[in-house]
Amino acid sequence: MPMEIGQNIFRFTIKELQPGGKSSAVIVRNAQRIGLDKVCAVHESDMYFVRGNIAPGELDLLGRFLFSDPVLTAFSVEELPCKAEPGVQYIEVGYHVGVTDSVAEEIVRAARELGVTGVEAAATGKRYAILCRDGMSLQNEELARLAEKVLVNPVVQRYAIGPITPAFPDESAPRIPSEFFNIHEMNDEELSALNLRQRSALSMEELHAVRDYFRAENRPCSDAEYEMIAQTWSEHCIHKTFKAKIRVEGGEEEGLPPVVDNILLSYIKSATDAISAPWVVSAFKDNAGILAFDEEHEISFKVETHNHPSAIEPFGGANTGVGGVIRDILGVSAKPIAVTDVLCFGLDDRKDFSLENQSLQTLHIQDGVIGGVQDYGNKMGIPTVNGGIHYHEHYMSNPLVYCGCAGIAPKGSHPSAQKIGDRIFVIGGKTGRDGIRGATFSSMTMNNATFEHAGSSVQIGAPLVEKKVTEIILSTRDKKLYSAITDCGAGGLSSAVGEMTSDLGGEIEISKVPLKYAGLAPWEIWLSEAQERMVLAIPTENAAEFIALCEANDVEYCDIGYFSGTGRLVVRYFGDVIIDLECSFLHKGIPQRQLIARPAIRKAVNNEAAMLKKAILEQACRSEGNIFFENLLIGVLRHHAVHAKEHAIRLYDHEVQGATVVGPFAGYSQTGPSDAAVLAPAEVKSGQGIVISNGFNPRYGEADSYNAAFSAFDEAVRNAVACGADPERIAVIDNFCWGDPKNPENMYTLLRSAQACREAALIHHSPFVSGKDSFNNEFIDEKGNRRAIPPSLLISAIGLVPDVHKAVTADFKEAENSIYLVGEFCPVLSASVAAQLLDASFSEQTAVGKAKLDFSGGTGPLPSRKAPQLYRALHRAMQNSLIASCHDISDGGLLTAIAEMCIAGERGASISLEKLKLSGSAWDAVLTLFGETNGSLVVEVKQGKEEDFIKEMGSNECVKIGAVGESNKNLDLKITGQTLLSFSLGAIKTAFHVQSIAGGVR
Amino acid sequence: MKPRALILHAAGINRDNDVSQALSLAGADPHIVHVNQLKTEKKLFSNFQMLIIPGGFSYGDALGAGKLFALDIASYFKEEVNAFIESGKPVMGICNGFQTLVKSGLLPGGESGIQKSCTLTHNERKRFECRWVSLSLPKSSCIWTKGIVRIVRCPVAHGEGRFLGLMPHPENNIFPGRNGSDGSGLLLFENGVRYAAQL
Repeated sequence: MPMEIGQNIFRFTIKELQPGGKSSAVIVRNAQRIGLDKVCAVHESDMYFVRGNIAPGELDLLGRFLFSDPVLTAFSVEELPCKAEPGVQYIEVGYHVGVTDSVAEEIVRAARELGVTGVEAAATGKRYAILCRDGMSLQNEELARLAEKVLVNPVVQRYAIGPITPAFPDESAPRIPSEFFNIHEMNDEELSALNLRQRSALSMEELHAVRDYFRAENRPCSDAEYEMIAQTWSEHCIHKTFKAKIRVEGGEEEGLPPVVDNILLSYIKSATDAISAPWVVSAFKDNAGILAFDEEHEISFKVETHNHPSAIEPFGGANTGVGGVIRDILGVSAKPIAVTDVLCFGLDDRKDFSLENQSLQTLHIQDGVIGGVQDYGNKMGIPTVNGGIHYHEHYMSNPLVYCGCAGIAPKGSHPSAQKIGDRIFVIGGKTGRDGIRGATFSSMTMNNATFEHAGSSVQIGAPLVEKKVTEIILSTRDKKLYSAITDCGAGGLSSAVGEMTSDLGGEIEISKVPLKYAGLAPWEIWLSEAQERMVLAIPTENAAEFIALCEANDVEYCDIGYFSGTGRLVVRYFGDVIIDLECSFLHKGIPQRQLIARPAIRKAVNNEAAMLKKAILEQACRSEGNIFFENLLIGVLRHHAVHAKEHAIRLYDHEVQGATVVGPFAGYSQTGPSDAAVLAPAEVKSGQGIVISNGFNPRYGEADSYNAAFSAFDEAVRNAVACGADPERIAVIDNFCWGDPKNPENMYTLLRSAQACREAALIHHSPFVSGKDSFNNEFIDEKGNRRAIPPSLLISAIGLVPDVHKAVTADFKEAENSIYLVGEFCPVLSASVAAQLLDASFSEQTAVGKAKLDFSGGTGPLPSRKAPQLYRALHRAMQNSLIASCHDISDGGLLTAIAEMCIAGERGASISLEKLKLSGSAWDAVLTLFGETNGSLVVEVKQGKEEDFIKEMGSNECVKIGAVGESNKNLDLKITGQTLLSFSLGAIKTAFHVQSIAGGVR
Repeated sequence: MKPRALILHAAGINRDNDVSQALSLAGADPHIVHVNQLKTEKKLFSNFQMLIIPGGFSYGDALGAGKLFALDIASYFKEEVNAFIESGKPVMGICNGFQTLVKSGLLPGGESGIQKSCTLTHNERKRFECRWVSLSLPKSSCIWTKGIVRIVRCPVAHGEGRFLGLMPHPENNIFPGRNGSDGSGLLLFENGVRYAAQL
């Protein structure tokens, strides 16, 4: 709804004083990549629009004090309509009406502070002036292409070739009445049509249950009631796949029963119950898992996904993903102390292992997601301490964004004691159309139409608002002003208030909820997923103090009602009832889903191929000699699964809050990777620390979901233990990202994965305390091809380090210290990084073997059932200060782990594998050096402590494989008697940090 | 008596607690005070011997880092901050707080408002980077850096007289033996506190 032109709207254009200004190299490069080779410079300038009765002197004041910096920039101001500037080609970009523009809000506030009271509204924009070589220019079609492919995200932005008119929301929009559906009289066809029209993603059984409810009450259903039921019953909110009854076909051999009634109860919660760890304070009950920590504090942890929103608007999706999981921690009354994120992106070419030629589309998603994580975490002042970035071709249109947050709170400070009469407050951000139907949308398969429908529902974060909300919550918690709290996430007030009142019922009036703009239908206010909001139950006697605190800190608040004790939820809008539902129907009325699980047909093992693989390796090794191994190690270190990925990680603030003992990089120069993060929050006086780690591997997931789940679990625990975590005090969180659950093969891999989760939890004695699932991560492209992601299970671990001074890092510390390989070392090439490289390099050589020669084939690394025992022994050795450094063996295998320890410590090493008694074949060498395994680590033992160390290891496998070298010396390797290799530290460091992997983060 | 340090707080400031911890460790008595509270109790300024403007993203960095926080200070506390400076008390601005100090025009060399002669702009790569850096301090009469001969793990961007403005975060390097740190950041705070204690 753009305003009519010429109504007191003024435009400020900001230009750099530096002659000629600075051209954006990234934009020019991207313009050339879409074929606009003649573009040689693109100058970007900021534009600000203000609307209102503003005197010329005041405009000058705004320009000088707010919009420009006298040393760097100059401004010009003109009233709209602006004339097109002759002789210059330019594109102007602004937001769609209603999209969160936090800078615009600050302009209005700051203008008042300057005494310019006439400013009613503000907007921001960007102007791109384009210069071409040799006096050439762009056609209008080319300008449009540049705008659409490079400059603009059409979901949230619009553009004009020439001057743009800003969009201000129409504040005179009329109040919208509720609509009513005669659902109690509908037949199946009409129900289907309603379901489709409202995009509610309900099944026919569920629609029947809704119809029957309204039949019993003999009345039509309001739009708000229908939307609320659809949201409450969405996959996202009620996890109906995990609670489904599943008929299993052909699972006997693999130990699956014929019927699984509720995966969550059967495999995940049952493990937690069986372990029954006394230090688990809250599991699967609150917004986050809560664990005992020391005499004074409890810690909390939550990890979730924000995949669908990130596919549509990468920056906003990832941004609000981080914001959302931080609110989960606030929702258990804890101070957020660390963010962890695991990101999965597509590959344009599955053989481009170092990601040298990513397409614009891929870079757009990747840069947007990374930028979104950076923006939220950094601005909140919460360090992003740990995570991962993974690639797979099937993440192309389905990026995965897992966001996690850990918190700390004084013992027993999270109340859940709302009582009849307590007031219900919503605080924080204003409500707009953001994320309308987000919960139901994220429960659907995406297609091209999804992007068009998303429109106004895209969520954009405002970390500044959440920062203020955080401060208010922590101070009201300490003053004990609230009796219950929950975050406003998917489903908005509908979900938050719905859950909070699910026992007592409530009386709600939403007409006073602060809105971003007028014209929202009441159901939209109720369902909006506008960010940065929290819902609190405030006993009436505390309301005045609570309101005063909000006002002193510029936090918006609204008293929307109270707990009624009737067991019904009644919502009014200007007094008219828009919802009147039985809480028990809303939360327990959904019929159980019925699904089928069936295994895919297994490929037969091809012995001929196994022989061929060995022969090929032997031949390559003979002809290339040592170069073969050198190239393989360099290739593995450059591979996207191993590479340092500094370009992304350094964008995150790892140090804010001053608690980071072990961050994402290890070593004095911070050049090597860390296994996990260790934190020592300022408020902790006991000397204990918190460990955060992750286990995730899409290659393994694709190979075998059972082994992959075991591996992810093992890796998360192994990483935590490697940094000093007590294996008896590790809790985990599961995050399942899968394809369409109605596909029986997907359900089968899901069941196998859940089965492994339970077994791994039991042997490691690490309970699940929270979890999430995200289904329908599939995309139907314009050609109608269906693409699903590989089974993607993330296991995130949180643990306890008894003494932060004994935390261990992965950098080699001192020359002459002995290096040991410990654990059940069972390397396999199947699904390994090295196998991908071998497949790529041999596929062209052997036309015959092309189909058969599959180094990646097989079921990935097997579970290590001895791992729990090893981790306990290793922890004792760490507590006795026997270990100088430790690093787990994961992607890239043993040699990669050693190389990373050399890189981190900036030291060489001298390694001999003679004690492993290899056969001398090339196959054995490759398998040992690069094969991937569970349950194994590389350990540097302090001098004089070797005997104690071996004693501590007891019956666990433990082999001395060499010694740490001097600073900046080579990594020398003796495989068997004959083969001697030497890698220069510089070469492996360069490969590990190679820059070409970097995208052009904007 | 421990010198009292005033740590300014505003929406988006996020290293207020970090610098408070560093100042406590260095022997000061730090107080984090929100600008909204100061607006109604301006006389609070005179209760303090040190003024710290901490880092973060004040007002979400809208319109430029430190810009709107600087506007707050120039609009509401110009006299109080000038009086603070004139009475010889030490002032420190870190990261966003340094940018705020510069943009408020209250630093020597800058005049309030439009006649500003210096400002801070983007780093060469125009982006945020989290990286440990080592820096040897130039010999100077700055009370914050005086006498520090060892290498401090963080670069100092501006140091003169009783003011210290720097972009990195010495407050996140106060404990030795962590994540690339050696605790040397504390030296700066100890200097400032020692100076303030004898005022």
